[in-house]
Amino acid sequence: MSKLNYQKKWVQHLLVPATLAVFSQCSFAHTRLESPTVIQGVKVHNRLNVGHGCSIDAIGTKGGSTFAQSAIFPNAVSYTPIIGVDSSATGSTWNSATYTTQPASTFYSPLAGIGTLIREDGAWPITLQKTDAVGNNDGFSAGGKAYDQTVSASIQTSVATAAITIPATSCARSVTFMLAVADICDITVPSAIATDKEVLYWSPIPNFAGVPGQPFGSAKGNSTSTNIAGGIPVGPAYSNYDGYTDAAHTIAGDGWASPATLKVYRNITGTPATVANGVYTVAQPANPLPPGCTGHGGLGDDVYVFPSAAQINAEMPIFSGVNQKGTLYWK
Amino acid sequence: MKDSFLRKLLATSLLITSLTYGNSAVAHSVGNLIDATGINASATDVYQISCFDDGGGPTAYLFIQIQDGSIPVPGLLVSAQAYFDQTKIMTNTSDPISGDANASPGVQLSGGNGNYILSVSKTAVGARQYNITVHCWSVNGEHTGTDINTLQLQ
Repeated sequence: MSKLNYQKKWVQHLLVPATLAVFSQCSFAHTRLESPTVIQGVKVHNRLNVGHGCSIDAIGTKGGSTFAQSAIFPNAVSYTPIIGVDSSATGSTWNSATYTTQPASTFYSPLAGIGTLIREDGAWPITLQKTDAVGNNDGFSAGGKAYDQTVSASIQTSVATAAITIPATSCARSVTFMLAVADICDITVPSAIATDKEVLYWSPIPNFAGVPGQPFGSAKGNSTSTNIAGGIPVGPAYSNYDGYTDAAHTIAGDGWASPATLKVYRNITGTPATVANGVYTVAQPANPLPPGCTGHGGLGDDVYVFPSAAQINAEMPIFSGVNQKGTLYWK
Repeated sequence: MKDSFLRKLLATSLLITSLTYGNSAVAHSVGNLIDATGINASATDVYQISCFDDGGGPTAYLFIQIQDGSIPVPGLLVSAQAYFDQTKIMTNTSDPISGDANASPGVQLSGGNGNYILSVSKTAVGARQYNITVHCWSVNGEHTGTDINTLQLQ
């Protein structure tokens, strides 16, 4: 049997829907990076984990089979990400950040290629790169197999997260990149009418002071949502892929303002080389804060980088080729 | 429709995907057809090179070398420049003979780990297909981590 025929038969077998039994679930992990916090200057073999399947009923019980995933990291070469700086005295959250028009290069580099697909013998039969118009890696699409999520199990895609440099002249003590992710259970339903039963979005929503157009929200809002401080307001959408529970797109979905994140810490004191379990970890040089940094009582600022709405709208669809070219499989 | 999607995906995955750009950025080299229309003497391509310790030691310097792969045109030469902002240092190398089989002299910029800006320029109008060898090296001559992003293509 030729390889193509074998693949076709294998895939067709997987498409036969299994009889689903509903089990009560005690806890669900959201779609997140396996290593969500890293130190600057280190390239990490990371993984994006689908935590659970889509909703299967009106109350949001999870269990729908996950069939594909689309994920992007912020790109500051071909787009202008929304950047917030939090310098508050205590604690830190992107909710308390303030919008800045300073260029991304003020806070970090490289400006693209933050997350790059690693092709390996993973969970998905098909993996596709996403790039911008000049070929910089922005993320990936993956899928082609309907994983039964009646009982949740992680589905991983390998991603190399870049070795990030925080400039010595910057007052940033951390830089957090917000991903835009769609976990797709029914790829036949377009995003314009998809609900949490078909597509679960883990959407970055830059609702903080100074961002043009904020507060973003939904037509009906949700004051009881814990995804964002103060609940989900009534307001305009941020992008075309914010996520909703209803086909009319009036009620924000479960993953609204609950994005996967990559937090890069500044190595202020440096790190000595270590050996553990036979694994050698290289030494990292110190990158102290420059004089005059006042954020967090002199400890530095926390910077948050959201992909622009233009990037999300352009790059979330799934195409067969890079740079949003080729056959369109889902939008 | 889901089955159709999968069939298309499988068929596509078995094809050799051709590049949709004139440029290519593979590990340790970048190339592009600069000034494809042949009317812009000031055409400049810009890249960002990330050098980092991937287990072989910290980066000591960035090495670059450019070669003009187009047919010879008198007076039309290509050059590459590298800049490291953290220490405000810069270097340049030019392919001295248009369109011959030899590359420019190799040059290095001792910035260490971090991000370098690599730019490409030329001396006159005319399209040139260039290729730049890019290496991040440790003090011991070992390759260190090298990632390349494209900032501008003209």
